[in-house]
Amino acid sequence: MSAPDWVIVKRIREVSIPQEKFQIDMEEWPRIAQKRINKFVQKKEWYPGEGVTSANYEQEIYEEFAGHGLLRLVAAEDPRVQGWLVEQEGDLFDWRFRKAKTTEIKLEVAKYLFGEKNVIAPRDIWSRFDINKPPFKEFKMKARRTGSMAVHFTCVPKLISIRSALLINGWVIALIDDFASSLKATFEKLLRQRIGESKESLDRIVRSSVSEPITELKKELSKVIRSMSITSGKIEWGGYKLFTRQSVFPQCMMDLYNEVMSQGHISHEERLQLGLFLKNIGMPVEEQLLFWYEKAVDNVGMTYEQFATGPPGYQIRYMYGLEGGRTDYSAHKCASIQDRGFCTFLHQSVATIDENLRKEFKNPSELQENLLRDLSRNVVDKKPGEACALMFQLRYKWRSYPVKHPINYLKQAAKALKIIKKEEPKVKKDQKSD
Amino acid sequence: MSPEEVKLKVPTKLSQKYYREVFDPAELISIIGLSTFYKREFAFLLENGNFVRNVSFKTSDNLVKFLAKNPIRRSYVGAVYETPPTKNNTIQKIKWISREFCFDLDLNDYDLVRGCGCQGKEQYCTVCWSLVQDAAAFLDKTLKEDFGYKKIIWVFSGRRGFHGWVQDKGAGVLTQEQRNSIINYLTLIRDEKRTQAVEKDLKHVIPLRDRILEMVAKAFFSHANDKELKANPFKLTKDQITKLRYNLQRGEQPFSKTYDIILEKKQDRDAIFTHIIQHRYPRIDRKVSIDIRRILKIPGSIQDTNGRLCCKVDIKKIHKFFPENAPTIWEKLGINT
Repeated sequence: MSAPDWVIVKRIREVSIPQEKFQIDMEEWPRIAQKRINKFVQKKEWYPGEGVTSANYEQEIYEEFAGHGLLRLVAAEDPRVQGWLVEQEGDLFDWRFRKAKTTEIKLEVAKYLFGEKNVIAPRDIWSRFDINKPPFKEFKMKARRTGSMAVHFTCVPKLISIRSALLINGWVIALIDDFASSLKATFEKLLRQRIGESKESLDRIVRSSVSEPITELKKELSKVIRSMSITSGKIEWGGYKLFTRQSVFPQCMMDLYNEVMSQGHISHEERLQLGLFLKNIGMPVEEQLLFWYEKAVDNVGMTYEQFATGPPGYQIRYMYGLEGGRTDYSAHKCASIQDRGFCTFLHQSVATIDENLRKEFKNPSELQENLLRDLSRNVVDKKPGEACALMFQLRYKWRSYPVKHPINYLKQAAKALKIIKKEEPKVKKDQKSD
Repeated sequence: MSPEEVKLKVPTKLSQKYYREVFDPAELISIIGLSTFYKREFAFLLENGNFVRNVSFKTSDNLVKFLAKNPIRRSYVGAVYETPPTKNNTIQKIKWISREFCFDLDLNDYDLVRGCGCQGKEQYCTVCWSLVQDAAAFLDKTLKEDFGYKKIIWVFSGRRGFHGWVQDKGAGVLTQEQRNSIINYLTLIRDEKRTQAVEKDLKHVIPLRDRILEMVAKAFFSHANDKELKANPFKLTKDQITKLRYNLQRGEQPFSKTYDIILEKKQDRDAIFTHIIQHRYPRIDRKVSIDIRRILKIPGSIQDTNGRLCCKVDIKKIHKFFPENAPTIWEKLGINT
């Protein structure tokens, strides 16, 4: 048995259908690629060749690889497309892996991505480890062994970092599904590598006779993908203008925003953190240019024209994917903020946080008092996500999971304050009808 | 003169004599291997205080000659280059490709919890020295039992700690992400020099959790006096302390059992665990382990401030090793001091 054909990073020679099927057909391939894009836009999840005859299976696998292959060529030329494609294919792979029907299929996928020598199959765990020993007993290995596998620790650095699986003698032992996110990360890494290889083959193609259709298609697909990334997800926030409502900002963004307003200066990393956040909640580039021009002190003596066209303006446009590599950057998630930016609950002392909270909640009720105490405790224990969730509960009276992304915080806060209503905003409808 | 220079005890002329007559690069080669020797980075702190990095030698003889000829205070070894730097292959172009997975344990990282009163790199006593001895023993066992490494060499750093070198084949080529993940796994104390917040969720890493009880908690209770055990967060009664001492002395049952028996419901296990970790869990210099461009003292070289050798230490005998056991340059050269 080998990895299923829906593992799209497989090389053509590794796919189970006849190789002669894969002839470049520039009449057909652009249409197939467009079909794949449409599925991504519609957030469809699918397996190729499910419930079809053998001949249809071949056709569907052919379309999988032809459509994906062409998108890869486009991604090789445009970093913005690359980011988008890796994300879409990564999500699809994750869905397919989790929904795979048998443990054997999942095992083959793991072997393909991690490497055969780095995976121990469920049936072999029994012979490789003494599962009657205490750690295995506590792990309930006997009951779990049919659904578990062992993976060499070098393949799953994230699982190691967070100590979320049994680690013995260099092997991480867990339920197969527990490896899903590590497999997704490995899949995405491999896809980036394959895109890099496609770049080399693209150079060869450019010199050959098919260069023209490829270029045409590249232009067209870039346009489609760019317009999709504008209309999907983040920019739909524009309709609500949440960037004007600091009351729904998470504490870190509120602090940075206030710092810019009062002091006119924050560090480079903090500017990036706040700037990307504002962008991703719908602040248009012109508005962001104006915000920094008006509020930041390092623009003294510059006209707006000089500011917007000079280095500060370049940096802002860069964030919006309008300069340089033209990458459409997302807002930093909490983990990145905690590593490189400013997280109130990690980088501010518990005394300062407590003092500020007491100012905000002057006569706390018993519940609020308990929440305030728990929040301080989480700050001391260096659990910023939990502390932020308690802050959310204090402000909006809704319980929250530990906060992992500032955008999610803002979205929930806007819902709690009924700024976002259940029905679609008018602006979004207008955009759709365009 | 900088304070460092004032403390300088070993004249460089004497060091040169040591490197010329006594120093055997075999000890270094036994750790870093011979095949990539010509691509290794070496670095030196010179007598005039200048620091020279990115030096490579074709053979170990050339290294010895260099050490014997130049006024060197400290000498270091680093990672393997893709190609050594030359006039044409300048430092801006060179790449480091591998280095053993290394650990740096330093006693002054425990300053916040050294109850004996010793501080900094220059002071130590048998009580606080046990912190780095225990740390080396704990890491050695964890790296072997959890990560499956087999060849780990421990070297006395010359002053107040140990360097661990994981020599296994795969360890040298670990990526930064992989090194980082191992260090994250091993690090339970965040922000060691300020808040010392402790990560307590160890429910999945059963062997690590058990080892902490068997080695770290046991060491803590063995060193703690009655006053400490009666105070917060332990609040042990006289009976509990007697029972604890009895069990520790007999050592018949795993300490995790003793730990469970001694602690009663009223005791705050969370706070006790935190206290134990903060006071005895290993503190690792994560940058040395993660960044392969970091350099470590050459095993067999001389620590200029006290004349002691950076010598290999048998991990099985690490609890019997104290800095004064390391040979000195004067002993090696047969000079009476």
